[in-house]
Amino acid sequence: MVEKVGAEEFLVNMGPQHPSTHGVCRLLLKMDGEVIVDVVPYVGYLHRSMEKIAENRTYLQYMPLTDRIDYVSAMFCNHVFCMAVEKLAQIQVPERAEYIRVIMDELNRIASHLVWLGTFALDLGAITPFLYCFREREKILDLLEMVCGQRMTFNYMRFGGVSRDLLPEFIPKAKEFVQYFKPRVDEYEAILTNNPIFLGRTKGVGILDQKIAIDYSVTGPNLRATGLRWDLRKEEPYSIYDRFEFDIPAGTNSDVWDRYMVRIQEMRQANRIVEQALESIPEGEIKTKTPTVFRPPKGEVYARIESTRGEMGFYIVSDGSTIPYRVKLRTASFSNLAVLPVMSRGWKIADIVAIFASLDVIMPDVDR
Amino acid sequence: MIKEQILQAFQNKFPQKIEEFPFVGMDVAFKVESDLILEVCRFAKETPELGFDLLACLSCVDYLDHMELVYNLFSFTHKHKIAIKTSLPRDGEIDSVTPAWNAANWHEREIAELFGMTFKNHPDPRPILLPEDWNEGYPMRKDWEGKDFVRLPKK
Amino acid sequence: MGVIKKLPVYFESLPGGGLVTTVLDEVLNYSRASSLWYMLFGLACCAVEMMCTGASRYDFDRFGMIFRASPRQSDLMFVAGTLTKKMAPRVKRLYEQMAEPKYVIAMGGCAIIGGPFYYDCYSVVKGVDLIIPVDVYIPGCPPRPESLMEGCIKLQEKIKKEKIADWS
Repeated sequence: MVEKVGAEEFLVNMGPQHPSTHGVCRLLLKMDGEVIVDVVPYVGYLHRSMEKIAENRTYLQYMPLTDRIDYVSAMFCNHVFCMAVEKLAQIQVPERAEYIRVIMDELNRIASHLVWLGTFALDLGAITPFLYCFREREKILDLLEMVCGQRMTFNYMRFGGVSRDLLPEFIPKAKEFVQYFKPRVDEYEAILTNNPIFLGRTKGVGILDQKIAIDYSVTGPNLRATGLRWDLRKEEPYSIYDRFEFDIPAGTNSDVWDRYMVRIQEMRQANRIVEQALESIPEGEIKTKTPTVFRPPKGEVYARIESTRGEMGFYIVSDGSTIPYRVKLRTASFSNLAVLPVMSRGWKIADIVAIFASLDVIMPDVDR
Repeated sequence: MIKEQILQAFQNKFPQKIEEFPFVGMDVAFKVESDLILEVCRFAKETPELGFDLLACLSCVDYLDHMELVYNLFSFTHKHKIAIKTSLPRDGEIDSVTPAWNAANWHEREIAELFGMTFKNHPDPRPILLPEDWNEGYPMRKDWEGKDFVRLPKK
Repeated sequence: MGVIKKLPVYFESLPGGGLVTTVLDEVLNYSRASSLWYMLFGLACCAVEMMCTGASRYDFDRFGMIFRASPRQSDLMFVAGTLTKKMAPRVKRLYEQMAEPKYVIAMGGCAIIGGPFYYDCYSVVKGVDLIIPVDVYIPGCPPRPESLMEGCIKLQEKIKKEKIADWS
């Protein structure tokens, strides 16, 4: 499609280093004046061969590397790896560990959506939400650092539970954060949601049809914005999500504005889940005992989780030794990015910045 | 549909070609031969009672004398899940399942350049993840060695 | 152009000329170190820590450091994240597009030596100093914002030791 350039068309390169490509992604735009005729994404600038490394590390040695797959929501990557191995080796997880895992997951979901909101608004020209979102994110990172000592790449979960218990001052501070955060989402909405410039740039732009989304395996908030109310936490409840009450937001028009609203509502719902979990967390053990030399039985397993960007899955083939035979990562952004050309034909070059930002793609998720 | 009904539906349509095997985390998993894969996938997607409209994961595993492709399929309407496996020789050819799900496009490009398989009738067979001037072979194969590829030393 | 480059050497040979070059040194170095504009070049995880350091709690603007999107308008490049073989020619090109005087900070384990991706990895360049010259190395995975600020202060100290007599 690159060779057939018509007489009045030209190619523009949005190169790997660009402030609004959110990482290293190259987009080749075929333009006719200011209208986009086609988009070709080139990926692979951050291909770090995570799957090859897994073939020479023990299961526990691979845990810190799973953080680097999706570094803004690293708890989810840890969680799904633990879920896959626990399914294969049939390890039970104690109650308190499940509650801690849910609290960490949902706090990380809020932190990831705050990064997305800050950079999305920055791309459209609004600099204030960026500073506000990072102010809240620092408070969440303080809480997470209190638990495991690291701000971003945690290496916190273990097979059978979590590695460290919560400090006594964690729960009062987390309850304080939950109450502090509720009016903050209203503050972000007050800046952006009814702003005429924001509405003009996002309403009706970049529409994704539901059938095309399902065909391209789009999952997560992008799929919920098309109208399909699908969330793995309600449809196939894993961990203890069936004990909490929360709603699943969905959109109607499937444009950029709907994807923005779905994520804002998800932040509120995640806050609700953290509040409920903090009220009812029991005492108890935090990890079942597993042998020091960990050898899961021979077999194959596939486990999936509702991560911030969509569905994340691990396919592990084990041959009975301490090292996995094959680990395949099914990441959400790989499939979400494939649908970008379909969504952006016919729009102008300023719209592609908004469309690309609304997909919430992170590059190591795509390239692994 | 429950597990036995799903397996029965496939066995009725493709007699003697379906062989079950254990897979943790899926309702049903079975093997088929590689030349039937496009028909099986189309049947899985288009039959209303099965309705597998989400191709979540397409992986390739290298077993040194042969390779296996694993398709993980899920359904939004009926909420069941299956895995389909086929077995191929090392530099083999197989039909692309892009006519059934467009999601397979990028997954198959990745497998073709990292493992060396060929997908017939693929709409866009370009490399995706490796550099454009890569000429050192197929890196994800088990017996691949590269020039600055350092292995973690064993204690 | 050649005459201007040789000017400091002529100054030094005059009586009292050494004083002029020292004062000029200090003024130039102070103005360069207090206004380093960095290019947004985040590759991977360290980029988010770089963004956090430039945001509300840890602020880069108080050091005079503002982010610029284009290499032509910046003096400093933070290489934050893993460098892969596919990205390496582009990094070299961006470095060559920056105008002199330019400085490079290698942030994080991956930029120093390949980080956790040193072993069993076929597509990672083991350290960014195989491609471009580096001034300051900041270890960590990812380094905390305080480490990043310490690294910038070390770079400012390094700039303040430069002499214009070394230009020729």
